[in-house]
Amino acid sequence: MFKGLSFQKHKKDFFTLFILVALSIGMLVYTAFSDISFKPKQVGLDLFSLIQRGIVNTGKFFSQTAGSISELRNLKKEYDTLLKEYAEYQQMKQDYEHLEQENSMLREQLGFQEEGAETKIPAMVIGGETNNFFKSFIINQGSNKGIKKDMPVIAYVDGYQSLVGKVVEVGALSSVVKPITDSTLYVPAVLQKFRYRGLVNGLVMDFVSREASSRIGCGDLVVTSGFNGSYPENIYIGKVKSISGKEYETSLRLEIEPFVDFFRLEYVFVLAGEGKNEN
Amino acid sequence: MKTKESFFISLLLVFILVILQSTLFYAIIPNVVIPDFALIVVAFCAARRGMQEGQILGFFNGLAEDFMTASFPGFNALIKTIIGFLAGTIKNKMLFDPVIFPILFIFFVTLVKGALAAVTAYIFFPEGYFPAVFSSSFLMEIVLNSLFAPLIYLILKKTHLIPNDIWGGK
Repeated sequence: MFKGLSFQKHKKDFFTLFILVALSIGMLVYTAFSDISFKPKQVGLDLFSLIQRGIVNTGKFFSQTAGSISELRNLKKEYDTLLKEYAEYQQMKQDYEHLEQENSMLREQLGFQEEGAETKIPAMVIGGETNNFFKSFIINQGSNKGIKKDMPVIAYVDGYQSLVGKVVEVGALSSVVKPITDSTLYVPAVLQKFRYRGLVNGLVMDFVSREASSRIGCGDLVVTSGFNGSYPENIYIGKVKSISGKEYETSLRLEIEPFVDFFRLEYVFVLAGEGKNEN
Repeated sequence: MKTKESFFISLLLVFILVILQSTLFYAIIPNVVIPDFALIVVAFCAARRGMQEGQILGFFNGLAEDFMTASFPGFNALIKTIIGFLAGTIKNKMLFDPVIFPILFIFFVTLVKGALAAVTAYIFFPEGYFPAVFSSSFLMEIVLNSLFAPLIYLILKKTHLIPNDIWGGK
């Protein structure tokens, strides 16, 4: 294949190769080892996110227009059902207000602080990885909405806050999110019921005490522990799928099934005011 | 088609493919292995038109990917530049049929991509940031890229983005 590939004959080609490789390595070194705040990647990320946004919105427009005819048929049915549900919710609202009042009185008596004060920034998934080496995806909100690097990202699954991942790159109009399925992301976690701690990495929970083997089982819930402050505590990660660990090892290895269906993830929430680099 | 003209069209095609890979294909088949169509185009264009055009196409393909991924900028640009250069070295040296050789060629090109990714990450990435080179998804990408290769080769030939004469002919 390389027969006749002489330097003299292909001087121009080698020179171009040298320039391009030097440029690439320069970029790699610049971003990997420098603390300079301006990063050309952020500019590029925004530029491409505008195109990605356009394509996603165009796709949505067409699919929604095509679906709107059949949707109208279902609307009447849904309207009647909703009227009934509305009456039920009115009753529930009254009950809820009553409970909230009672709850705040009890909290006051116990001296608890107000919880859940963090801001949730809603965002839409507009793109994903172009190669299969990493599993990150792009959302349509960036520093203009107050998003910062290392902020945790969640989604609501059946009304529960479930961990999606964390922000790893922020542009002005878009951000890159690394999901918990990526093996380069580490999440301090705890088994919700028996409180055994561990570290979730690529949907495997490691470093769980061997003592836990007699108490835990498949289906047990795993939540964030809040340890080290990188993620707020008690956000659902998933449930135990399998337990393994050799006899001579001091810890167990749990395989986790995530709550979030990453195949259908469309909307997420970035938890502003939370998160820090776990390193 | 003139050389310059076809080069710029190829460049545009690569950009479009990168954006489609990250949006439409991602929306249709999220979190499932997506073939690297842009890589296939770069490899064929390089093999037919030489090292110079191959490495420039590869560089811009990689650069576009770098802006849209969680990897460090320069990572994909470096890999694709080298692939473009290496694929360009076979210009006028090989004769290949429309099916078997494209499959084998892209199979090896994707393998080289994996090897380069591993080496680059080992040298430049901090610990814990190693790309999923030894994963089932990359293995699947090798298979998918190889299977799509004859189709893309045919499209490139029909659209005259790569010369239509016999492979290896001057």
